[in-house]
Amino acid sequence: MKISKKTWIEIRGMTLVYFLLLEVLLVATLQYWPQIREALEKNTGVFVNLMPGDFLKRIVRGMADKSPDFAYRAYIATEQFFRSVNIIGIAAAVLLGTGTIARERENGTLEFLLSRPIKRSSILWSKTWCLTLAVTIPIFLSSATIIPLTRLLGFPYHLDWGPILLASLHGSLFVLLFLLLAIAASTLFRAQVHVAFFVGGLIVTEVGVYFIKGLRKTSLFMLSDFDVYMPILAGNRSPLQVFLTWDLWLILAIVLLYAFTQRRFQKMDL
Amino acid sequence: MNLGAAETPRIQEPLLQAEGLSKAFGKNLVLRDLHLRIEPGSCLGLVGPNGTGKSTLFRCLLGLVSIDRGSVRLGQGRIPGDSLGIRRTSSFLPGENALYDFLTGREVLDFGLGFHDRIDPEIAGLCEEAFPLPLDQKVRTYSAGMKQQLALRIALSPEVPLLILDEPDKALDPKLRDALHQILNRLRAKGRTLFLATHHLEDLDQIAEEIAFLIHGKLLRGEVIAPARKRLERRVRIKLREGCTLPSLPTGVQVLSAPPSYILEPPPTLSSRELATLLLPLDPLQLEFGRAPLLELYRVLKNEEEA
Repeated sequence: MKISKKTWIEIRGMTLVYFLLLEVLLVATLQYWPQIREALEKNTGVFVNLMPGDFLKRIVRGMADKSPDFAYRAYIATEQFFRSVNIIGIAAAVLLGTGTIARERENGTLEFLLSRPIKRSSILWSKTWCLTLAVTIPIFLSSATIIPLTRLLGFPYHLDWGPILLASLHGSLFVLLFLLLAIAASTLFRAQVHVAFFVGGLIVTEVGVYFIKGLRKTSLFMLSDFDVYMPILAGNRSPLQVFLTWDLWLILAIVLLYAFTQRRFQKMDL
Repeated sequence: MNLGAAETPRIQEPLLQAEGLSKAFGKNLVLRDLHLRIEPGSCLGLVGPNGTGKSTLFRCLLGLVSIDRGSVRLGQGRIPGDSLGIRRTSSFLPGENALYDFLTGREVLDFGLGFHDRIDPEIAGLCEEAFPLPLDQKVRTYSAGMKQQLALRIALSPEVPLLILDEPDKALDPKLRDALHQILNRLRAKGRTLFLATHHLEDLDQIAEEIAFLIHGKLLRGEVIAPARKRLERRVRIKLREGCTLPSLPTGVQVLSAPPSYILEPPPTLSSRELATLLLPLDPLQLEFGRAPLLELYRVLKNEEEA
């Protein structure tokens, strides 16, 4: 049995719960769209005025747009990507990532694992790619059900696969950044609770910064908000544009974090 | 023609060699300029109470813990440098028998052995016979003793030159300990090298051909401990029957422990056999000399080291 298989057995339950959460929320969200659309059409001005921040006003305006297709895409961008990916995706990444090394250390199995005749780089790589698939595939799978669900619910809107897959890829990369952050922290702290506290604290700070008007541009969540997903879903961004504007930086940050973790793990004592 | 070959004394290459090994955790110096040489096919026992650094020494040898100074060499592996080479040439039983609770015993066994190139079928068979386990059950249902048996099957089965075993008999009942000793003896007969630590000192005396003591970060063995061992071998240990007291002893005999078990140290002018002969009429429950119990030896060495 290989390390990746062992890791999969360890996390498969959590991965399934994570996917089901994404899917259940998506189904519930889509079902309520006709009522929400109706209310927004009637009282757009009221809802817009109720929103405290500019970005929230833009979300409401998007969902109240005269074009039903555009409004539906704004709804998907908000509910599936801005909300579910950012909350459930990141929570899953942190839960799975923080235990990568710290849980082995806490359970006392790290000594057994490290004493096997295998390179530490292989151990980290096996665990990382397995976790990467566990946090990203549910995003793709859940997003892939948007079009069939839309048809199943009898909605007349037109959606293309390309923008949905592109948004899923971008959302996955964003979640992957937090997974790598959690794995890196897992090699820095001895207890999983300390890792979770560190990564959780960082996320809460970033969310806090996002809600402060003057500081928003410095928040990581600027890379995964409505203003990112809406143009993608509206078909206004080509894959190359998405790559050059956002994904390139995310990939660079992920690679740097992996390199840091690898270096740290090589030198780490039991 | 090689004229010099016949006269040149053959110096056996050590299997494992550690030079000037030092390791500190903060201000706590656990290993101090430690030198270790283990010959191929030998069995070295390591003695030291909890917290003396036995596990740290094992971990340093395998590259699981970084060393502050020194070097280790085993087969093609070296530390600093290639600790993987060391782990490929050895098999390790960690002192903490924590295994993956969410896997079945069979999955843990496959996982643990899967990284080794070769498994010794004979030893694997002996282990299976000696440590039968419900392998299809999750490890979380296992007792501490069962987990230890599983860990032993993983550690003993690979076909590697060196086995490093940290407390192999932990949590095992006497019958299983006997079975373990038989497997260890078979491994020795097959030419494997063993380096092990245990708190069952009486067992270690039987298994290991040499004992090393880890005291204050230094490894004491061989010639260094020979004087203390000789002194202890001169001691007479006697356990008297209830109501019996020691008679008046020849001048110079020191009484080192309290009743009913006495340790008597004769002066240089009196042999331990002569002293024992004097005590025989007491019809004691136990009377022995010419032996150096490991625990006593450890205490003497520790006192000497501290002095």
